[in-house]
Amino acid sequence: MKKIFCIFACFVMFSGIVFAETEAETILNDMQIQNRISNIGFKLLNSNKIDVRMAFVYDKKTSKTPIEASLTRRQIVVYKDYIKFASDDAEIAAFLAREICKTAESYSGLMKGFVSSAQIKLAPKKYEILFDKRAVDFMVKAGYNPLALITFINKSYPQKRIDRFSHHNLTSKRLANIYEYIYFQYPAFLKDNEYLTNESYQHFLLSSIENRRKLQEKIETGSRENIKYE
Amino acid sequence: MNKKFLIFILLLVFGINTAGAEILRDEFIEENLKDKVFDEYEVNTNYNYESTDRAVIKLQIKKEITTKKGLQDGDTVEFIVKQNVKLNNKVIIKKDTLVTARIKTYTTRGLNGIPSQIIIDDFKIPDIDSRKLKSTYIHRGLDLTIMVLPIKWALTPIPFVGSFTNLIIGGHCKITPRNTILLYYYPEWNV
Repeated sequence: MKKIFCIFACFVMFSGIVFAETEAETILNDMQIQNRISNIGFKLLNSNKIDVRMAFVYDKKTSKTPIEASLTRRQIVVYKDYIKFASDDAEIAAFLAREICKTAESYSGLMKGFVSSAQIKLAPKKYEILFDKRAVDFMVKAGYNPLALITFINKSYPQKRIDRFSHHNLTSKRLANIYEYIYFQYPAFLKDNEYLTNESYQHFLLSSIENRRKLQEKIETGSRENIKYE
Repeated sequence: MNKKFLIFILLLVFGINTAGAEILRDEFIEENLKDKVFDEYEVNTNYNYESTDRAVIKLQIKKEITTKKGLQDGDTVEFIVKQNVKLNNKVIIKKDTLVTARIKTYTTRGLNGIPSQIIIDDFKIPDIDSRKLKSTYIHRGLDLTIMVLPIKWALTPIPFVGSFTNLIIGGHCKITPRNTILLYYYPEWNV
């Protein structure tokens, strides 16, 4: 009887230690991720001299869209569902740069940014492209390669059939717009392309052949018209 | 046996690499950018924003620009300094100095009274370190959303009528020489 009791007591004692260690490890891991996100976020803010406050929060819960927190509480929530796609700091910066742009926009305009926030909610499609382009600028100023925005979006956003009646642009259209923006504004990143060995980037090249042909035509003809990407 | 195995391994390694090299090309870029040389882009990663001393630079655009026609991301725009800029009683930028900047991007006007906007940055002022400037300038057209929202909410109880306010379109964005653009120069910032 005594033996059984001793074995049971040992089991309870040691399992408690194991569980405590696992919990401590999880907290430490969360702290590391939070610290990494905050550092990248503040680097983007400082490099771009964005003088409005915003907080960066890592959240393990899932959410479809982090838009609410960005616009009303000026809190950029990085859900695990999004961040799991990022393979390096540049891709984390890509995600954060877009959200920073959105949050900064919520400070500007009439009624302390209330009207701007309402406009972003009323016409998300229009602002989506703007935020993508500004994210490229923010990343370059902070020393990140803006092509990471292409690889990150290509990995993490699905592709709808059509976008005519949707609140969001087709992901392929967004990617083509980002590529065009980088081509005209920061071509050196494309000339010495570090992402050519990246599988996600190669698949972007493969899936964007038609869109890139349209861009090539625009360059060759010297047209200033906006391209209708698919 | 060993030789054959070695040759097989070498063929495998170089074969894979050659196949990889076939994939790793962006011909479109190779054609268009191969002979071009680009300036380094401004990166701002060493900063110390401790100092609050600043000089205000007032600019006016030389030639009117509007989202109605002919704008493109990356276009260069010219401004002139409206008045002498002084710092510690010393003129650091003279009146009528030419300043260049770039249209980073712009948005078109939209439904629900949303105005178009132009974002200008990369201001270049002679003898001034642009990293010490706080300079992103955003100009919006006539914003009608503030009028649309209360009407929309008031009409919402009547089915479908509130949605008609969606059709109100915001204003075009226009920057004219009458607009004063303010930039802030922080000479003590360590960048």
